[in-house]
Amino acid sequence: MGWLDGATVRPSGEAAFVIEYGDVIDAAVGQRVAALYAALMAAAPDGFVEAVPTFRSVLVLFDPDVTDEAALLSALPDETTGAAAVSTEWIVPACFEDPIAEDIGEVAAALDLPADTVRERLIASHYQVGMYGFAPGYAYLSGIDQGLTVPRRKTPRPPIPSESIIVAAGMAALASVSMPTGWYVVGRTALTLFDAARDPMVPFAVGDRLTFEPVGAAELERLAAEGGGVRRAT
Amino acid sequence: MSGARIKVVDPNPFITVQDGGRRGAMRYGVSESGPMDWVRYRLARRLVVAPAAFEVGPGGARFAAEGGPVRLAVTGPGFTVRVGEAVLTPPLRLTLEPGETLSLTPGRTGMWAYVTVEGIDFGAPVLGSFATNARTGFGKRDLAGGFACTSVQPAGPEMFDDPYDDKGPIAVLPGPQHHMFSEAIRAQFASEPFRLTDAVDRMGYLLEGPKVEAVSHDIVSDGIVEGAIQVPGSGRPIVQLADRAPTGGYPKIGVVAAADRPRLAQRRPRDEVRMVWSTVEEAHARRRALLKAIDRPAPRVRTTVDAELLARVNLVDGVIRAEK
Repeated sequence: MGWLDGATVRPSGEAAFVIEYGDVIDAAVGQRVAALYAALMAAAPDGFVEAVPTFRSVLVLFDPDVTDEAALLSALPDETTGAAAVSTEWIVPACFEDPIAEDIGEVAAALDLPADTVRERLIASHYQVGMYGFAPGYAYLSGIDQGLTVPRRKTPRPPIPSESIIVAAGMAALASVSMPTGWYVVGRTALTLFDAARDPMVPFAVGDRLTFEPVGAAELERLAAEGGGVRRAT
Repeated sequence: MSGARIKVVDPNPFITVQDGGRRGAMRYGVSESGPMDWVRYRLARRLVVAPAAFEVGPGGARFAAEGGPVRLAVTGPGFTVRVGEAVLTPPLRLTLEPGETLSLTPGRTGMWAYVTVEGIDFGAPVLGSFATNARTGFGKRDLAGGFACTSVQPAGPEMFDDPYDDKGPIAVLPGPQHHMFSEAIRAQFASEPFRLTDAVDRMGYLLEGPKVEAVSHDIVSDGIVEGAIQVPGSGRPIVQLADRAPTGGYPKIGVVAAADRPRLAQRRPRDEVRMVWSTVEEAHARRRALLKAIDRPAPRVRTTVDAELLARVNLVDGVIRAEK
């Protein structure tokens, strides 16, 4: 299968282009994005500047004095390995208890569900890292139980603590910064989502899959102090 | 051994340190940053050897030298440089003696100016870049504390031609959601004028004008290059600039050609802008022509002796040299 099979190449000015695998959030689309991104990073063709993978597309930035779209695409190996080879599965300890899960009651009320059912569904969901954006290390996740879909708030709530798990509009996100948001805080991880001195700077690659493992507030604090915010699934 | 230092006197929030931008971490959610006007930034770097420049915004700036003479280059349209009694117009290169202050003030046009200082030490880069990003605090420095730089042999000021014309329409190339705008809307986009609103900063410029309607104003977020023109549901375009977020969920009708980004960035709130659809080939040719002009700065030909310049007696030598 070729990289462009089923894809649309979109223009993005004179020094970039976009390879789009779909226009919706979809796990299979996300895996193709992850595979193309990994291939680009591994091949690192001359004049390649960087790639920004998202839920459904890869933005490729290049130096137009060195290369162009055709040269970059032809520098890639065939798309044969499949996506499973590039994505890792992770288990992320997270606390969904009060008072950390400060907005879970609002989500439950909006859905007319008991708060514990919301917790159970958050824990049972299989998430996939869709993209980073908004702020350094700010990770958008697909895969949340669509029965937990609530619209964004009309007015942003006061600043959330960083490393919060937030939900809205059928998505979840790991917030790396404290800020006002239209999303709902339903839990918190013990991760450090961005560290400029760490390689890589973020804990997950786009396309990686993760599930949350419920822990209490004290355990979360202990894990955060020990840097034990995540482990590979076996 | 150099004891020379340069410091910013009473810094304001529009003064930042910028280099070519923080590249390679957009994929982790890190904004690129970098200069708002890459042409004047590059010229300032060409005139003086420095790893990065001070970007000076509409608040102007004052710089003071300490410990030894320092060499500066200043670029920026509409700005005026004052040192003692001398009043000078950028682009220029001059020596600032210890105890002297250079003030840089905006005029009736222009938003951003650049100051480079020979051998300036901005300390360690963050993620490979000296660029300042206000939102994350990356590259934020104590500007008033001062920076070590090279102590130089004093020389008279040298004036240069500005290689860039700020007038004219803004060339735009198709963006990734170009197809989400009807042909009629795309044609209107390039035929009717827009105006800059007051909502302009290093992240982006909000324009107002004819309503730019898309098939839908909500997309699943994708990557945003510098100059991308996003159109939210209001139908008012936002041109995404240096400090933009790396991804966003509004359709992008177009991308401002690199050669015209400074032209847009130097416009002020309520200034008119006109867009014109262009091609990648044309954009390359114009960008390359600019690079050539920047990399061979032309001394400014002075036809009359500048009385204000002469007021700074020890600079007269520079006038004569600039005329040769």
